Amino acid sequence: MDELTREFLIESQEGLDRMERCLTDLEERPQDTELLGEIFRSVHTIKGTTGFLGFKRLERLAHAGENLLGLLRDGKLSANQAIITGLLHLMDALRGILKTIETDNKEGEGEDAELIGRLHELQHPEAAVATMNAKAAAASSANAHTPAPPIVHQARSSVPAIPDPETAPAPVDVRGAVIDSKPPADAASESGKPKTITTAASDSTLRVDVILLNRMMNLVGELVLTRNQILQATSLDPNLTLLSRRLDMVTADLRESVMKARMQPVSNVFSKFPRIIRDLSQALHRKVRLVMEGQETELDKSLLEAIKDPLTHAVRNSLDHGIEPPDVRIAAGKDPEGTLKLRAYQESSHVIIEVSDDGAGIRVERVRAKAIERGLIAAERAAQLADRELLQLIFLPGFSTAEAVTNVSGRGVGMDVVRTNVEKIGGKVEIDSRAGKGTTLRLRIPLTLAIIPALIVRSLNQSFALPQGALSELVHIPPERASAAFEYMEGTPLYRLRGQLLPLIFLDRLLSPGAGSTSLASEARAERDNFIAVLDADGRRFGLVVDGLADPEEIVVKPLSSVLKSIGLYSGATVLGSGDLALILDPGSIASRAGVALRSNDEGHAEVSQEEEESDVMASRYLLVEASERRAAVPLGDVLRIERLPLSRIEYIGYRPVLNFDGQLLPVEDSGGVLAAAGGNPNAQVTVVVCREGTRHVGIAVSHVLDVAAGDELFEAGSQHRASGVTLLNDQVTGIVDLGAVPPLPLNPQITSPQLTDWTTETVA
Amino acid sequence: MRALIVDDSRFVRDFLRGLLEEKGIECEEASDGKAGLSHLHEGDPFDLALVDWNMPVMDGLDMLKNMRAEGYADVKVMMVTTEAEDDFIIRSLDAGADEYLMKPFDNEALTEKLAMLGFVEA
Repeated sequence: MDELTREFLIESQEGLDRMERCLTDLEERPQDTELLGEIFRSVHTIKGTTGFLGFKRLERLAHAGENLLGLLRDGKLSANQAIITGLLHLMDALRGILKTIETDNKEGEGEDAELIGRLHELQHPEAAVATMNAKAAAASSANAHTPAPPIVHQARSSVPAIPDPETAPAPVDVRGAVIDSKPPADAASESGKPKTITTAASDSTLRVDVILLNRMMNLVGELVLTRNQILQATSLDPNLTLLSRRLDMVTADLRESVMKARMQPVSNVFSKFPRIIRDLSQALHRKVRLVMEGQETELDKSLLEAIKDPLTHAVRNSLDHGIEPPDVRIAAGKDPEGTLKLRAYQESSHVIIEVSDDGAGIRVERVRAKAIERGLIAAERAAQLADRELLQLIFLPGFSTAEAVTNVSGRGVGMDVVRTNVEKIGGKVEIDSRAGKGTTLRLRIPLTLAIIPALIVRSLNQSFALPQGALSELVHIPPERASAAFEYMEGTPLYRLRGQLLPLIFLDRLLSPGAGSTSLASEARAERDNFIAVLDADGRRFGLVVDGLADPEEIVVKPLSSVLKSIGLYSGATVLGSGDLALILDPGSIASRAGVALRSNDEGHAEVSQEEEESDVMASRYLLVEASERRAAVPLGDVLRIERLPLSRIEYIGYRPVLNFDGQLLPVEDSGGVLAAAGGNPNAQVTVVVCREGTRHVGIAVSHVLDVAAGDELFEAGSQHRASGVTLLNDQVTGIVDLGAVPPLPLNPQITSPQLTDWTTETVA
Repeated sequence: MRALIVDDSRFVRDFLRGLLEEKGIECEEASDGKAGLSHLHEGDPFDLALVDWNMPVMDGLDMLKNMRAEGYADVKVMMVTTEAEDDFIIRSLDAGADEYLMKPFDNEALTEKLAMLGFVEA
């Protein structure tokens, strides 16, 4: 155990000893503020220090205690026997955990929800009695829900037939079809402000233990699975069809009801913002008007909890970096009072929460500079990114746009934490920003985690579930188009989707990399239908190629065992309607495993991954380049990478230009005179096409990359200088660059200093 | 440069001292506001005080107010506090604190704050 942890344990135990003494005294002098202050501080210190070490259980317990003690210390609540008992239990629980840490160096397992719940209840003595009695009962909101079976059924069973190429399947909308019978105001008072719950109110509403609700949810999940199986099993038997259809309806409705019982209005989270914004805007000397919309929108309780922190962070960010001080705003011709808007609404199976401001917006140039400075991205790569992509960089760990991390942005936790938290619950974060106009951050949260719509796909004769949340469209490639549809650049398979290059991942190759030679695989591929599922994950867009598509299904997500989890491609498992087991694919991990590059809106070449160097080559495809107004073709199969870099990256050995490429020196062919034309300006950008030639790599300096085009080699010709042949590309005769003719480096590539060159020459002479 | 760490938690004092000394900042410690003030009164002057809020005898806010009232205007004050204490942050900024740092913090967060005050390079 390290010194700091030991220090923490000793200090915490001392604090608890003090707390114990004080608690005994408190029984006799319940109003003694000195005693209360001392007890508060013991717990407060534990809460404050435990965060450094990441002991979450301790932190949560201490936090619950601190809230209660705060009320006592401030005289808002007076200590009674029940409270003192509760605090003694807290003390015991804290001691227990400290002891476990001392022996095991970790907190150990344990259920603290009940104690935390009790400490909360003790804060509201008038409500405590009513809630105790009502604890295990069901929520009336679930009972009051009026079913709308026909609509629900229709929505559920509308199975979009696939694959007209290049059309997006309509996601199956389950939620949207259900009629909300509960007025929003009712919902707000029911769960938003426990304080107001009185005996009278408890006639129509009950508080339900979340644990019980979770159990109900699990049971409903099981029921959904069974229903799916019965539906498939009975689909051919007309006698049973009616019965099973009825079961289907009831199940769907029950599921909705239980889900609804777990719902809370977002106002529960929104309600704390007016105060935060008032205080922060004062501290920062901003004038801010807060607009909140859609507070009655409901979200699963656990999800609501999970977005609380990301949302708070986003709001702080808006105040801190977004909305300008009044004088700056006036100078920019804006209303001195900024507007911060919080908006929640439901969009099919998601709840969208937007935080938008009319502030300064994000200056992409600053994002670029910062990302380069922090080493998150290479300067050459950053220069290629479109504005939209640059904005995505702020979600990378270690990024913070704040030139100065000011008071409000706090501890420097950045947008990466927002993204991580939201993605943890299956959500997405999007950002839009226009310099001078404002920024909108959009959190896209699934309605629930337990049951998700998924598309069942087939590969290697197995079924896999693909969450619909990540799916944006499906493309069907019939056998006769297969060989033309899949293109390769640097060994990375690509597909042209409406003029955009889409990196592809073949699911079968990913799952069993050793299966047959790739050429065999591509032959087999050319003989059958292929489907591309276009996925968006982690801000990247790519296509997952699968062998077949089955129906969309609502699947119940079951956690994976740790063995399977460590593979990293799957987010869970499920039982399909057919009774088969299927693994749920995790698009984010698939993308990062296969190293898909960030989505790009500009030139196609930026899309290409730098990871793989497979040998799938379309021999008759060429990269069409231009060097000093002369066109030339480079066989696409030999192209490894297209680098845009400053002239200063080009070094010289004698008169020969060389490029240090991933630690390897390669000769750069400049027969087009591109480097010379750059005129020695070290900041001038040049493009070098890095190619494979036999066992070595060579670079070709070019002015532009024009296109990728197909063409047949017309004849082998040595007539044209530095060309191995001629081809007809886009109706123009074009010389093919002869990579073999690029002379090797004159020296051992390590030797780059001019003195050594001279010395060698002398020796040779 | 010299920093005064005022916190009733030994853990936090040790933690801060470790990070600050790594940056070549000399540290002294006090366990409450009153002890903090006496450190200021005696001995060499300080460039920076890192002050906890909730402490026995004299809390951080009172210490800060006393410091400013007694004319220690050159000593930068960074309040060290927890997330839940938004209200306190604003009051201490009003009372003349220069920066604040939220617990739990790490080296990066502390460095950024120190850089804001111009004590270290970011």
